Amino acid sequence: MAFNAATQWEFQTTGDNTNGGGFFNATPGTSVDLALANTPVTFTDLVIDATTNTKITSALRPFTMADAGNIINITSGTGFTVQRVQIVSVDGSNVATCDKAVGTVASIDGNGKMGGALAVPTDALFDLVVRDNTVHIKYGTYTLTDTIYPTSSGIFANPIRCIGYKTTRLDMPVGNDRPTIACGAYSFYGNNGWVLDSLIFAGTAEDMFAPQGYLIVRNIKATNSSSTANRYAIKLAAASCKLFCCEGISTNGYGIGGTAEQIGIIQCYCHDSAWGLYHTGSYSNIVNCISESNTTGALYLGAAASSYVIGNTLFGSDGKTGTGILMSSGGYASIMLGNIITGFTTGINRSSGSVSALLLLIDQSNFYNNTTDVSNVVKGSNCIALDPAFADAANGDFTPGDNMKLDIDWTKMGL
Amino acid sequence: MISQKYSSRDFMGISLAEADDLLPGTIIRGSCFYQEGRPDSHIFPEDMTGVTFERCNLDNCYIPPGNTLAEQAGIPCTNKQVLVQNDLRDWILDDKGEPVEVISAKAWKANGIDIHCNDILKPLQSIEQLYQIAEALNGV
Repeated sequence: MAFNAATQWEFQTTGDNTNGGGFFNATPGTSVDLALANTPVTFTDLVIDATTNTKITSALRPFTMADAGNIINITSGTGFTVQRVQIVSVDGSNVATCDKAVGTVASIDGNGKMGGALAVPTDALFDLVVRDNTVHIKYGTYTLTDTIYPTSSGIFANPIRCIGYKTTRLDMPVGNDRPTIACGAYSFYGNNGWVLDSLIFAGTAEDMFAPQGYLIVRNIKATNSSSTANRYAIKLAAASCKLFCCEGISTNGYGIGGTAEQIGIIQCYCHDSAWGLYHTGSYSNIVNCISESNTTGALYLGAAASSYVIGNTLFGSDGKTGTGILMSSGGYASIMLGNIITGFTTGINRSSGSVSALLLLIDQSNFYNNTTDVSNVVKGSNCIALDPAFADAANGDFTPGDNMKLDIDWTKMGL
Repeated sequence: MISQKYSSRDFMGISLAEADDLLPGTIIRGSCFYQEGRPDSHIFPEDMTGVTFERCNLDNCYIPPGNTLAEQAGIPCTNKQVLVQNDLRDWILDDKGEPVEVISAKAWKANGIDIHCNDILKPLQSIEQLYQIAEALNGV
């Protein structure tokens, strides 16, 4: 039997990877989460029942009903299987029934740790997680000593969630209140069907933070400070991943991007990279993002086709730097509307192919302070050229000025 | 005693060679000291002794004699030498400085890609070497 679907796993910097680390509320009002409290209980005298190998007792520290739902990490003992087991129930005789066989019946002197938080993510720990489980990571810095590439996966209806918190679970921290994963040279990969939320990643790896497919990623900041070119802070390598409100910085590479198709990059912020956004996968949506102050360009689409680029703010510099949007021969059947493209040597450049051979719509956008607005593409007749008058571009505030705001007479709209 | 100042921190790319509080008995737990592009970096005081590192990332760090790398919470330290190669990937080096395994090899293998160190391109010849080769071929 696998761990209960409602199991909550807990990471704290003061934890220990030999602790149980997980809990589900087996008996609401009675069960106590020893993982969240980080109060592990160490056993040295576990006894497996004489006839039922899922039942255990301890004389030195008898089980109570409050223990139901906690996970025990069985670490040693003749006849005991080294593994994590979950207490499903505790009866009135202090007998704990576990979710799986603990070992050989009638074995004695088993060692284990019940409850207590875990210390740092590893493959082995992430592989314990099953669909609908939630992994909570408390504020602090967690140092990886190897790449994380879990085999456990969720599905859209039953994901695995990995969520950072500051003080209370699900408090949705922002800024530097999020837990930090110090990656060094290693990578953090999710797997299909993971939801990753409210975390900071820092490192230098080629694909430092690489969520996989059918995944939702929210409120992640990733900084890749490698001196090697073309490395990603956030790389989308598998289809159908959706990023919301993430921040990507890669000093000599790409803030956010990848090769996957059918992805969404929504309300994200990329800056101070070579390319802020560098995504070549087709059927993708890049919506309401800010890509600014990058040394080469704001958005590279390569040969991507059938994509939407809607409502983004792309800023080079006041002195005009790089390219706003660069396509190669692609861009077929793509729509680019409502974007602010300002401060570039070239606003939108399609480097090859016939300008008339595409179903490419570029319109209703603001091109301002570019040496050349468009090259080898057609700018729609509804584009404008107004100073967006950003509130404070130098400090990352790209709130547009009043001349960019809609002037609507609401009285004429029946409101 | 576990150092609150130096534990659970990210010191990637930072040198602590001038630190004067890394004293004997100090325990540093769960911190990252990785130095990109600089194997065998001397980032700690040369006379530092008696410090214990627990589950730290010490890749590319030189550890002065008399200090200890220890396992904690079931996790050992890592103290590999890592350097980018001509394939622009980071590789783990052996004692001779030769690449032996690509970083994150398990991720590559999980995707069916087996990267071997023999696949790394040899370093480009310098212009002077190219001239020498051309001259030798032409009997000059």
